[in-house]
Amino acid sequence: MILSCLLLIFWLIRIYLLKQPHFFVQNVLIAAAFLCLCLFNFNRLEHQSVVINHKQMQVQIYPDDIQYDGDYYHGRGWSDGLNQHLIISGYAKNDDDLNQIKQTNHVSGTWLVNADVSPIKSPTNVNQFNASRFYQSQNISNQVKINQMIQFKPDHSLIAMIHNLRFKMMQSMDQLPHPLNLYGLSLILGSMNNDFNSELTGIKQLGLIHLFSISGLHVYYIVNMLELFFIYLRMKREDYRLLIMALLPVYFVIAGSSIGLLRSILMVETILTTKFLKINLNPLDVWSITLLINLFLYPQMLIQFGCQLSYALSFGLIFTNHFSFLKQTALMNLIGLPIIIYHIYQWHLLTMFANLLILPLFSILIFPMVIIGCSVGLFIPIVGQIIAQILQFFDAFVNLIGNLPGNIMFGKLNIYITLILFLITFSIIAVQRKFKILFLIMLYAVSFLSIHFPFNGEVSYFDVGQGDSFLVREPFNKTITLIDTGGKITFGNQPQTNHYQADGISINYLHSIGIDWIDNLCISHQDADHCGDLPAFLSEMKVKRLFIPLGMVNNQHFMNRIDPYINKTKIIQVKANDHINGLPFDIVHPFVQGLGNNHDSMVLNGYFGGLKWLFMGDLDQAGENDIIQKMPNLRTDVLKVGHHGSNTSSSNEFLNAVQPKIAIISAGRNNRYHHPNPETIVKIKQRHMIEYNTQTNGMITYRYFNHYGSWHPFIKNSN
Amino acid sequence: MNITKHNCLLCGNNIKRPVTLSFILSFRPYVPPIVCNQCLNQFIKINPKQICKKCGRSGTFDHYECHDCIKWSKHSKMSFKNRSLYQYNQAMSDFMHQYKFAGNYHLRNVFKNEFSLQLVQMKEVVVVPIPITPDTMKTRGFNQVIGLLSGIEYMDALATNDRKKETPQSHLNRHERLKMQQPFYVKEQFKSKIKNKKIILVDDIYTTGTTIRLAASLIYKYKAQSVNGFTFAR
Repeated sequence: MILSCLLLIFWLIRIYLLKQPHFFVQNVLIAAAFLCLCLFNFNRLEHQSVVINHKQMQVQIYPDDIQYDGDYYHGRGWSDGLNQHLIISGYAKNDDDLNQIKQTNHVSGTWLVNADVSPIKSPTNVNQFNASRFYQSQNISNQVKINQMIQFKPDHSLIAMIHNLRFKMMQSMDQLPHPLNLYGLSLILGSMNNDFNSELTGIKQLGLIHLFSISGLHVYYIVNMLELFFIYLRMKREDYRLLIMALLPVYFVIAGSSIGLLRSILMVETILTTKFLKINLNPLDVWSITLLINLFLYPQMLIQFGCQLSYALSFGLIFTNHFSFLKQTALMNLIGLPIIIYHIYQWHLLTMFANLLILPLFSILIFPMVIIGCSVGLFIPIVGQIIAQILQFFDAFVNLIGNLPGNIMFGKLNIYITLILFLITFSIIAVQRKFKILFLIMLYAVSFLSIHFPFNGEVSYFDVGQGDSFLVREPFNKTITLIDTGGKITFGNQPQTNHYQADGISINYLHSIGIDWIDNLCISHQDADHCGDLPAFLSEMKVKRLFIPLGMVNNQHFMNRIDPYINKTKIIQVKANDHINGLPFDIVHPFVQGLGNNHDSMVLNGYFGGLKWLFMGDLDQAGENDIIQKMPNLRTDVLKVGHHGSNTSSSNEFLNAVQPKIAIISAGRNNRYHHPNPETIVKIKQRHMIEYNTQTNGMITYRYFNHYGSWHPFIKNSN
Repeated sequence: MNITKHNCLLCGNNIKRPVTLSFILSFRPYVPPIVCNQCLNQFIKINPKQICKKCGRSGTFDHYECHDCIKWSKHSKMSFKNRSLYQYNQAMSDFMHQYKFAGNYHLRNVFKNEFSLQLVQMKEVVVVPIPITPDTMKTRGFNQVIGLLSGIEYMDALATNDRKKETPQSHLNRHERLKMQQPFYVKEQFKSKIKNKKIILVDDIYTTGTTIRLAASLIYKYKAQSVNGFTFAR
């Protein structure tokens, strides 16, 4: 908010100093009109949030908008009744149900469903992806959970037909040999996993960031090909230009309606329109008009990472065109760098090299090959197979480079620093001066050091839903200790997926503060809500030591699950009174060997920032009793209440003995166990303890320096 | 969009000058372009490192003095240096013709800022423009030298002697010019103000240097500390 005001003032001063009064007034008027539009849009979005439970409603759905993940399906749709787009999700009850849904979702149409509607949830952890805002930028603010499908009515409108066509193309392209099918789907039809997380993962890989912005490349390809075709047909230039203008929106739908695509299609449309009207515009004008149209359609679009990158790079392209290819590539990387670090916190040193080498290869060779493979390959299988082979080779090559060391975990840049970096970069492009380059490097270096050697330490309780996951980070990042990982409990025969919520919550947070390693990972016991996401940590971060309660190595179920990921991590079994160098905790429990069940929970006791801390895991009352018997002098200030606040833990005797002043409850919203138990809450209230609860506070952080610190719940208590 | 749409004052074509990044990032005011780059490139600036040290003529000379200046120094011992901004070539000749004789007063806008900027950079000087005859003033309507001064304080100290100019100066040949009599006098009220000042005489074109030198010698009579010249073309 402050930032946007600053930018606005900056802009006003700039255009005022042009000393062209007419121009100034015109601009301010246009800006004012846009402001009204934005406010109107904001207001509308605010009012379109609704909560509807178990109601029959009609949702219009295109087949290519729905994705399946096991028996879970999700996508987007349009509701005539609510007059808005919605995010749709649902579970198939069984295989027959799933087949029936897939069968129905073969063509565009209106579904009559019984569903719940609710606003898209806002994040509850620091730096967590803001799905609510992301979808709002697409004018979507509600999600629909489909309980039951009742009736289906096919749709025969033109747009529906285009979507049907795209769906058919997706299906037939999927039949092509691997990996040609994947290349075809993503490059031609723009069908990557539409889920918001994939907005990032596609470019997280070895900085093929350009692929993202050159998604405009295929637009120019298509336009050129069409022009050649029409010239071959001896059509008049005015005629075929009109025809191309009409065809591009169709292509927009076919190619997956992505942001980069919207940008490049709007650009081509602008160019064609001005040519048609015989107006001469320079590239900067075209860029500006495109941005204006884009913002007119989606006023909040610029908060999206992809949109920022796409427009920044295409802006940079205009002003770096007169440089050599090498210099231009370097500068384009430099432009993208602040945006990339701000959003995904990391950058690969070889990005630049990859862009230099792979990008030309990509536009000259790969893209035309994919087009040929996906058109000719459908009829002559051998062509598809040959191209698939070449692509496989290309894939292996890219992976080889991607696996080379050189990834820098930078951490999240401060927004103002990001802006300054961005401006300096452009100022370097405008006029190169040594001192500017030096200043840029200094600013990067200072930001990096301040992120990586923070003066303060922290104890954080992540909001991982029903489950535990806590971070203890000592000042200057001396040790990074994680207690439990969180994880989803799976029921029955639901298939195990490779999708971990830790990726978006705790791992994302650690990355955002520049951390890609864990010194000590303590697993309190074997339950999935405590260690379910352990594979994610083991495979994505450098975990030096894994601590488990004594005897848990004999738990075959647990060991089998982590075995493929264990790599160089040292597994250490601990019991009470063990002293371990580099672990900032005393171990309080277990006293005897077990298999890692609730009553074997590892209990940790530490001292940080002037407070004593006790982490109870899911230890039951009998275990608590053991502790006060064997350690009568144990006291604490902050108690992570055992077993998510269940009445099987936190006995009166135990609370009286350790005398905690602050209680932390880590439990999921509306969990099926009804944790925390009212009895426990009463016990906490009776003792006048300060209570923090991840259900209401989201992520809870205690930030400290020396012996002092302060609490920072993500959502402040309303009372 | 029409902020970027202008026609060249000289050739009349549409000027295409894209907005630069350094301009966007600066706080400079927007100055509408007046002439297109193509026209502008026909004018050749004088490189201040390759000139005659005396009259400012472009070129390399033995002893840094051109043939004319060696001749001048035989005639008089007056200390006088001249500097000029542009070479007097065909394009400049055409331009001057348009500006002075066709009376296109607005053409001064093409060079006035650049010319005046040079004068601003000279410190502690008094700018004195070469005047034109009242007759010329009647037909032309403006002093072409003063037209090139924008935002420059100047002292209009000189006036032309009250005699009829039979032939315009530009119609005289070199020899006739060199024989010219003093055409100027210093206006009464400025006589005392010249004393101990560093004077810069400003003219549009330096051809033989006779005019500006006559004016310089006149001003030296009123005890100026120094007198030098600055002309637009040479």
